[in-house]
Amino acid sequence: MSGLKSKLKLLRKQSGIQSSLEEQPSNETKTPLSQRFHRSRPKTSNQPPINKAIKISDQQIAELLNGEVKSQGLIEIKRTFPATFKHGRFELGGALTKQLPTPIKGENNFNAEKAIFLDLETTGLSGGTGTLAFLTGLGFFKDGNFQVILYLITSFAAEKSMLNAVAKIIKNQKTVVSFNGKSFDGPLLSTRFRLAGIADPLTNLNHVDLLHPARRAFRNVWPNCRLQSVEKKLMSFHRKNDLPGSEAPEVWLNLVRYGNTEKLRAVVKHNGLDILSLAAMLPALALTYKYPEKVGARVVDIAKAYQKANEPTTSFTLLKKQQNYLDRDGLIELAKQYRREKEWQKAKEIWTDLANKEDTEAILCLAKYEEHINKNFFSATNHINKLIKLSGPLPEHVYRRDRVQAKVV
Amino acid sequence: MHESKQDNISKGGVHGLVRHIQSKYKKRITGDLLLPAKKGDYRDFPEDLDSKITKALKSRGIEKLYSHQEAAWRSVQQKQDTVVVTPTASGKTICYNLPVLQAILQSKAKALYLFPTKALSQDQVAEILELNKAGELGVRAYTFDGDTPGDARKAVRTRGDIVVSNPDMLHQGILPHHTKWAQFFENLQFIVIDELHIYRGVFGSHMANVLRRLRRICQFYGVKPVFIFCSATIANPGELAQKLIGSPVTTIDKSGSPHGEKRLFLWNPPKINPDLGIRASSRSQSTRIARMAVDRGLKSIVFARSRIMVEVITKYLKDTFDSDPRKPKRVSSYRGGYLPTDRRETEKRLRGGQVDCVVATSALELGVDIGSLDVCILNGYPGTVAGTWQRLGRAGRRNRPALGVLVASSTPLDQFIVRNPEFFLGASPESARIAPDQLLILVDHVRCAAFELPFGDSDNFGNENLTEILQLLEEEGVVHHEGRQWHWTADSYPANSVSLRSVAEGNFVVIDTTANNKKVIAEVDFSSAPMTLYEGAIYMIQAVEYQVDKLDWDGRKAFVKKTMADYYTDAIDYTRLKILDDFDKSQKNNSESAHGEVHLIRRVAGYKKIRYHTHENVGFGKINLPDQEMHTTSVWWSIKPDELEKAFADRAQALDGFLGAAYALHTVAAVFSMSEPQDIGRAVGDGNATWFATTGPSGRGSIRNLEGESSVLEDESIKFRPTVFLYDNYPGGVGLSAPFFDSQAVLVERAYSLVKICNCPKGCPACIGPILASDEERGFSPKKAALTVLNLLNDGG
Repeated sequence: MSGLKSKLKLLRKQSGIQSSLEEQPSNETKTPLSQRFHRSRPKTSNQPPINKAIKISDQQIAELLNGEVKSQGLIEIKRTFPATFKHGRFELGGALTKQLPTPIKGENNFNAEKAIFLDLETTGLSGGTGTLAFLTGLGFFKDGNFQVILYLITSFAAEKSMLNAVAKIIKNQKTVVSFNGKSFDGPLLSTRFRLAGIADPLTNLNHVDLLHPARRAFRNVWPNCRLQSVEKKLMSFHRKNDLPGSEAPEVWLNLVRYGNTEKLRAVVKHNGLDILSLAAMLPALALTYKYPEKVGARVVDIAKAYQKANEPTTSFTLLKKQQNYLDRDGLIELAKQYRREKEWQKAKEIWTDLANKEDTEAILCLAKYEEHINKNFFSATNHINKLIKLSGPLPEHVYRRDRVQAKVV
Repeated sequence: MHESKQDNISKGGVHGLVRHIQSKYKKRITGDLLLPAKKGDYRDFPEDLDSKITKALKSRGIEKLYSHQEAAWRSVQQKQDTVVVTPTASGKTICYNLPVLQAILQSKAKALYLFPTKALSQDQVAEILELNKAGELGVRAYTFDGDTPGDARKAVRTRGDIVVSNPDMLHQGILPHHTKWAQFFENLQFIVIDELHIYRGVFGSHMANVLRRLRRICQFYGVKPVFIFCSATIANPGELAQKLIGSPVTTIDKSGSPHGEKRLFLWNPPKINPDLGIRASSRSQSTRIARMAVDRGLKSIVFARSRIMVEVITKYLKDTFDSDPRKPKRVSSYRGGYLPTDRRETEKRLRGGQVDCVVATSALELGVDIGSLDVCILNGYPGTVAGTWQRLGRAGRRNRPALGVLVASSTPLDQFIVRNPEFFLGASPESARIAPDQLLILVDHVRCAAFELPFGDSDNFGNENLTEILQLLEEEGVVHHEGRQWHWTADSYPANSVSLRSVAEGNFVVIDTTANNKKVIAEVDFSSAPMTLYEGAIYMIQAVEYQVDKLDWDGRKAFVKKTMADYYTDAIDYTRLKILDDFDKSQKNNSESAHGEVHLIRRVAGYKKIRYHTHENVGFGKINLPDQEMHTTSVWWSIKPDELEKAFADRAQALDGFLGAAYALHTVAAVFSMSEPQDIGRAVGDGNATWFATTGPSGRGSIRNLEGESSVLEDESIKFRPTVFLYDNYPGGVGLSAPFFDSQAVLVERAYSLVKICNCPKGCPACIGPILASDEERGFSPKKAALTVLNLLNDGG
């Protein structure tokens, strides 16, 4: 009624009828808020009207997904695979028997039997408290099998029961394994636990994020190191009719808004495959870090990863063993490690080879070697002169030359 | 140093300089104010103050508290939200540091400090750390802003006792990630908001909503922190603080700090061309005064309004004082854009008394400690009385006499100030206004808040109907109602698209294509883009001229190239304005006025090219841009047609009177509301959008209707009721115009005296706007016409 009244008043004014001065302004004739809002900021997009959802029961959804209703709004989908199941060219249980290299597992102990594999499907990618997981994918080894459990919620209200169910499974494990989970899935789940007032089970667990070792190994080889790239290029696993992860939020919103279950199965399948890939990626990366040349990883990057993981000996051994496969950076790195071990002849050989190809860094190394170790100032001068010829009279080169020449005298 | 002190004494110090100016430049001084010295009012340390803190204070030379510091302590101890109004250099940081440090030592409290800028945060942390060291308090204080490295953030969140940040960071970085800050929020006992007076207008309205969100998060974590505000002198600090947090606040406004004798001169540069009313530049005058001060061994500071002006004045002064490279530098400059380390170095040299004169922008106005100065020169009016006093407060610390000189530039605002000294010298400082329920701002923050925590059906946020707002957001598909809660559903991070400094969406970026490398050099508010970024416009940044090549309206981009032009451009816009609703009106014998909602359409039709210095019109250009529509709030005045007819020979003259009156009202309204002139729009028309008037390309007032020229000036059968409008130049309004209505008598009277006092013959840019030479010839005085209109608006007196 008040909306109509104010509209009338507006029309009267627009048609030029001056309101009489006696008329008192009244607060009751306030224009509806949405009208006032859109007057100031016109609508930019035409969203479809939100019709209230067609009611679809949890039971129906559970049947569609071949799952089971655990409580109101919470559906559990369980699948069991033998540990010997091959996902691409690697067995899911490949990590059960092997020790993982340190650059993959980090400094902490790792036992695949005490690991929980985790991947979320969320309402968005932006992070922050406004994004929630509507599908939590979990995987773990039990009695020689790999168990996949997915929890799907069909309403916002069911989130708390899902978190409780997830916490119950995670609690008994020691390590979380994820792909990009250190920056995304982990913090997001912790935020949800915090908001729901449930103790965060992740705080007591180590976190192995496989994106990092994968990226270190392949970032200079592949255009990107997304999960799908690792699957295809390293694991030879090819998804068929996969739903792009970016479409998942829309699918779920269509479910809660309209009761629309279209593509819901595809989302669940997508998430299930993510969990399998996490498990199979452990043996795949173990192979990568042991025999980089076999999977096309860049040897020098693997060597540097061992350095960073505090295993200089493994790094050195790998480089020596793979010397024939090394590119220029690899050779420089190997020479550096020879120098550290004072194996001067070996280092010098590499530098000399590279210096012949006019590699300035190698020439500089030679100059330093001749000046400080070999004390052949004449030879050092020659190297520096070559350096100046190649890269111009940079102040530090000129300074070095003057210093060496003073020593000659 | 020693030598200069001797000079200082031999030439009579500040008093000598005052006498010199009074005898030699008497004519330039339009106003003179003397504030006698004041003794300090001291109190003992509170008995319950932790002995470690007492020790820290004593080791820094503080033996007693000022009365206002002690009052703040008592108020905060009683858990009252408190605002302390403090002049510069009155030890305001102690007001909040004492209760905060005490609570940290006694109950592991956490505190959040908010400063408007990053630089101030740094200073603050440095100060706390010094106290910390002196008293071995073991308190951890960190800054958290855009410069905080990623790997340090976690430590700040989990280990900081005091986190020093800014509103933008709180809005975009902390609140949307509050769960990461859970430990911090669970122990949060204090929120300190310094430089309260900055939070006014659009920024203040946003801030109030950010604080609504903050309080919501605090409630989630079960805490109710005490707010401590510090403000420079404004008229309504208590009211502003109360509006920001929505609950009563205790105001402490009696300062116990001492100060020396202070003198203030208002200085108008002499006329160098009396015929044209052209005055010497303020820059040359400021430089001259600074030279006199330095010659007398007085430490001085020159405040300039732009970075480029800082550079120019510094150069002039260095030419005089630093020409000998063998001697230590006596002149220094300080502005934003310098590296933080350079700025810290300058601050250190200032504190150590090694600099004789510093030239600075307002970057030095806020809080930064630079020690004792004798003379403060303001090159141009800073825009507000409050801001002026704050800068002047830079001189005269530590009980020494001080001199401030406000040198007027040629802008209308400056000329108004120096020609109406009684206004400035007698003025109480301005009130700061905010509109926390401005609909667009409110809705944006409801959006951000819904992202942070779901809203419940019975929740409140602001004073509009929250359910209606949430329904609006549901229509947009960003929230979903389920059960009794509203859940965020969009895949977006709403805080990133809400800027705390503007209302409209979609700022324009200015892209320099001169060197083919496409560099973004500026950002322009959506509402001012049509007036400044049309194709052909000369756009200036730090006095470098760029010409707009191409404007991509939908992409919100303007492509510019460096140019050298001997002219600048001025857009011609037609504003049609229709009254939608009046909230309040008043009627007088001759006139009527009202306050309400208006709809305006602005068309930017073309632009003038105006040659520098001579100001002659050297060409026109056409502009093709979409019309700008805006609903906003406005105040308006009109004169009863009979009275108007009696007062003017013809309608054209009456119209010129209205345009001149509007110009003057606009100037005084900007002063009155502490706004920039562009925050307020003005228009003259009939209120039904049937006709509107502009100062057209010809310089004369002309009338148009929707089709073009209107016959209202000739056709006696059409009622002629010109109306002057002052409106909030933001979509939806931000509450600027309501106070204009409440204080309309004062406003009109000030506008009248602005025009009356101006000693130009028939009107000039300092009073009613530029007029044509032809007016001089035909004997018509637009100035007189404007005075007639203003007089009628105030019912003849």
